[in-house]
Amino acid sequence: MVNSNETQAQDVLLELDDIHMSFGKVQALAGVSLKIREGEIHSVIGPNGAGKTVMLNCINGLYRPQQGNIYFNKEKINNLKPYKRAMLGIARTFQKVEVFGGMTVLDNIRLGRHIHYRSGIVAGTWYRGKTAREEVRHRSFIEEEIIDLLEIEHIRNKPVGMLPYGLQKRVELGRALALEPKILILDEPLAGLNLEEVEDMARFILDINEEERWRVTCLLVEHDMGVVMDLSDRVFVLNFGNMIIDGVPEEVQNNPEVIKAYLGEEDLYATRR
Amino acid sequence: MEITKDLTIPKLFYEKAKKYGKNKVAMREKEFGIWLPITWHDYFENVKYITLGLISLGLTDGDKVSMIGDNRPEGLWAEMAAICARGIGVWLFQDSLIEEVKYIIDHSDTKFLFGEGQEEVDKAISIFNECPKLEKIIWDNPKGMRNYDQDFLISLTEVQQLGRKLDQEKPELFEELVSKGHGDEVALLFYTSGTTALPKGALLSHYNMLTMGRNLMAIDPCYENDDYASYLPFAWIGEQMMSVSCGLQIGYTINFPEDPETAQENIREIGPHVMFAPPRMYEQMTRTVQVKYLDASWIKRKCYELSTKIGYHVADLKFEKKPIPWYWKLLEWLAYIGVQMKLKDHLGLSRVRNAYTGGAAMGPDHFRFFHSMGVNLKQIYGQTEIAGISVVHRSGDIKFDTVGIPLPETEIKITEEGEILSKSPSVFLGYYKNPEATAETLQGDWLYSGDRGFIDEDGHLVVFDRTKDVMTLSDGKPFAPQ
Repeated sequence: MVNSNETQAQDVLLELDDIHMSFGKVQALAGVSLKIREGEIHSVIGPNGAGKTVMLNCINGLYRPQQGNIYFNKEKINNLKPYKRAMLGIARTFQKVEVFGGMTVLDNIRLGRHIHYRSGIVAGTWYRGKTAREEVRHRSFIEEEIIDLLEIEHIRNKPVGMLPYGLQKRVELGRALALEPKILILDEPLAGLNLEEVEDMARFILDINEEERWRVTCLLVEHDMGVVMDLSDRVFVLNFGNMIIDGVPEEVQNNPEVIKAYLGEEDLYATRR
Repeated sequence: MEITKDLTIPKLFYEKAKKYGKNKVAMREKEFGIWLPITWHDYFENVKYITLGLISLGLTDGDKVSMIGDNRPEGLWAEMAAICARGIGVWLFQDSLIEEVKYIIDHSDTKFLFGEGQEEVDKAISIFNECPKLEKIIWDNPKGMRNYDQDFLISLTEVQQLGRKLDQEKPELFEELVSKGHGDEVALLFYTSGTTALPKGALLSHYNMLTMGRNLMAIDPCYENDDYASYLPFAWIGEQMMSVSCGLQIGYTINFPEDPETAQENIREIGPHVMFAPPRMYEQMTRTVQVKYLDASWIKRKCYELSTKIGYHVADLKFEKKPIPWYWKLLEWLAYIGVQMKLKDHLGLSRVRNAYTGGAAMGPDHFRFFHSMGVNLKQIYGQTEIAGISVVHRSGDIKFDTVGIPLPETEIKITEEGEILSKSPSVFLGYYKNPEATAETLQGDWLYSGDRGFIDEDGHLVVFDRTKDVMTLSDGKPFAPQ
């Protein structure tokens, strides 16, 4: 395996500039600045309540920061609604899976493909010629690129609510991929998975990031330090709304403040391996 | 086509491919949710270029070529190509542990190894240094392979490109290779499971394989428009018998499921005409039906109960070889229309003419269950050393506690100690690099099975168990604790 840390990061794709966010008297983010370069896997770590998820919610538009700017592809996106940001190519998964339990795996993934459909509601009702061809084109994308990649052939027509948690997480990732995102935000993709599922998921993240077909930039929030340090090009450490360090994994692991705040001094970092 | 000592698997393959060409589907694989057909012409082209590719990589007569991976067209192409190139094919179970892979690769003197994708390649890389005779590892699934750059790795596409180049230089070479062989030459090296001892490699000739197919088809014929689903490991002789020995002679379509996990669902879509599986597959089906029955509504449960009652009664009459009165025939038809037709469809058994079970004992209840639905389930007895099976039930002559009567051209004899001996043109050539075991197993023309059994009053063979597992009761009667 080639060490993924060697891949050279290019232009800045997403930039957070001095983001402030507070809920009443609780300050969740106190001036966070972060640059994510195209093609890298950038992880965000930090203790519980550090503001990681708030930061992700600011990026995809669920929250509006009170101060500071967010740039995507050098364009300011502060005032865009979440769906507009999705159209720009920002996709995400959630810490607790947010799939449509009553719908099949295929329908869930199709939903992520929705923004790429050009035919309108009338053409869809009539469903002839161009509309039908478009549907086939998108379906083959879903089959060839997503279902094959995530190895979920056997559950394609099963309702998601009946599936085990690990597979639901995969479906959610599949739905995010259907968007063909430029940046993929993964909020604890490994939480609650067993060892085999963790290995699979780590492999998928690497594939999505490295495979010529995808080359998706990833922003990863995760507590499994073994995986974070192995996969990431850069790691950003957040502690109660403040950045401690933003650097390559080795730097972060050896930073005394990080060890004190998060990793713990006894065993350097906890991992499932 | 007549099976003679001159005929080989490649010659038969060549013959069939030329006969059917683009007009007939040789195999299907489900990919991306769609069944993709592969005609005999495509099958032939693929095998031809892999064969020539192997030759240009340096394969010479009698070199061993191993295959590991799930059932897929590429696996069968690789096997056929290895044999066409005058090499010898060796199959490994896809879930083999690294030690097992190492033992078989090393013991068989494998020169080329076909692995499916990253998982198999990883296994092969980890043993590569310990198996000095292994030269190349060939893979066909590019998923996850982007960071591998070892020079002993080569993709199937590259092998085929080498083959195309060689074909341009020597256009007659493939035909020459195919015409060279003789039926008594070794085609396959098959490793026995080796649960309690190291695996032994059984050498099977072209003639062994082809006569096996001919003799089974003589009693239970299949037709060229039939469908067969290939999902059990190729490293199991039963699957080889169906896919290669019978498949090639009859020319039926071999269907590969999308994924091992989708096999049951895919079989239902295909509805094969013939099936050969170990008892656990059938037992699983019975259990599925029982569970669904418990979940069903009251009215459905009552319909099912009634139809099974009818089914069981008719099946019992058939087992006892008694005539079935017309009113029972009518009831049977009603049960079929009302319940069994649907049930068989759900299990993928709607079109099955013959279903075989073998490899282990199966309870009479399961047997009766399938016959009550009108599925012609038969017990077989066989072993790797006889290229498949030697004894099988005949239609209309099923007994739960027996394994049936010998195939045509097959003789069965019981020694004084009760060991089962068999003799047929399919008896193997011997164990690879193990003359002691060969001498023990092959005496004269007889194959010593190591199993204990007897022949009952109807001429059916009854198998107890492996001789070493059979115990003797105080009154001198043998019994099998299992």
